[in-house]
Amino acid sequence: MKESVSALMDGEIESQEEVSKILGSMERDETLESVWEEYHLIGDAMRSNSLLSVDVSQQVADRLAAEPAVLAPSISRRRRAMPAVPLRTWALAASISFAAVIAWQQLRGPAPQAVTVAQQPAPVPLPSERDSAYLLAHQEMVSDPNLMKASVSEVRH
Amino acid sequence: MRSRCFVGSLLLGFALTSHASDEDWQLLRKAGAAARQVTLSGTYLHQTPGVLETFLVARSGNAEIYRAVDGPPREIVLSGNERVVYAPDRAALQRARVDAMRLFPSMLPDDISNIQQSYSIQRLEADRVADLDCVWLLLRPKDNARYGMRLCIEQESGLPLKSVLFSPRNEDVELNSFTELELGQLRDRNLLKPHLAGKLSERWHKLPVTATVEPAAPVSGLPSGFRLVKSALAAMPGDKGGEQHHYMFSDGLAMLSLFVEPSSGNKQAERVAVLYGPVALASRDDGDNRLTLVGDLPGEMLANLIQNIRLGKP
Repeated sequence: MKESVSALMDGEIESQEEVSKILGSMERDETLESVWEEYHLIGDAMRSNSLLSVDVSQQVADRLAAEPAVLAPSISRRRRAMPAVPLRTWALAASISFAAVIAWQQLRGPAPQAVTVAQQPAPVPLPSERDSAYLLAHQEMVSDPNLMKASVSEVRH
Repeated sequence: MRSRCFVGSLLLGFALTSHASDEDWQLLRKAGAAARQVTLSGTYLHQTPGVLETFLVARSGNAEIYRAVDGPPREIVLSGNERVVYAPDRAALQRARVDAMRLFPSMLPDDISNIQQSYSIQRLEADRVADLDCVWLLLRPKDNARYGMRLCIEQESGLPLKSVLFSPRNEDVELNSFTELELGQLRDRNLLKPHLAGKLSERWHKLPVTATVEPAAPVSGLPSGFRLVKSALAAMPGDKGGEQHHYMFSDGLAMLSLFVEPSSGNKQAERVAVLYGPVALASRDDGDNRLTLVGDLPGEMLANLIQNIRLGKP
């Protein structure tokens, strides 16, 4: 029956009736259900699935103590756990994914970056008197282009 | 049939992209208005090469105050058509004058109607600044002649919470970021009162537009997208009398001043200088005139521009 579960996982069962039969068996037999999960886990691991975050260390330890042979599946079963896809297909998929990531990054533009904070900011280099005049005249019009400076008065209170 | 589906998908994609872009420009316009109008109190960090300083800011109605927390004490008070700068001494007063030109969050020009000619817009990821959620907008120049800007905007109010100006080499040249912020009515109206009112002060009165004059001469050689915002006759402080023509151009983000004044008798060397943060200056003699450009454009850009700019005949 384990072979049937494996075949189901690999998408090799074409008959709907057979699929229903296997699923029914899994519902009745917890062992088969755990086999289903185990095969998926192995497949995920071999495909380096980043979503793999299941903590199975305790289960693995228990299983090792009880029946170590179960975690040493036959070569044929291991092959089924990861669909037999030609290497060039994986390479092609990886190339497309890489190209998609690069294209996405280009489209998105630069991510907001933290500005490197100067360790010891130098004192503000104030412009010369003459340059300050240009700077301030520029600033006046920038800050309020609809109005303009009429006079500047400096008073001590 | 397949080709029809493909073309249809492309058109749909284009329409959706265009719609998203319109929404982004709308958000930018909202940010420009909110930056000048939203009632707020808070603290923001300003950083540019050689400068790292913090300001307290409070605004309610048309009253606004900026108080420097770092360095020499100084305050900038804005109310209606008047600006007063307070400081304990002349050096601090000079520093405050310079501060007053880069006040946050009102970093965007009043008129950004022509900005789409020179910049593209893109919405980036969501972020969080000063304990408020915001979304990044990227304004990327269509050429390498000017700075770009990223703004993180609080969507409900439209207020920019953080702004980063970056160079054509993708180096950040100026950052402003709120570190604390309260939106809405001020908890304490005394926040708007200057602490340095008994010290040295400089008062800037402003008059209505009547001082605007027609441009003395047409100007050519500007980068694409820049248009004349205003021209005026200006008497420069420290000048030995006389007036000079001051043209102000904008591409919707960068502001560029051109000063035209009679050359002094002696031929002066051409020069380029960084005045403050991203603001640079370039000048040269042109016949009987001395041309000076000042603007928030990269120095190398201004150096090229001062060579190309031409004054037509009045």
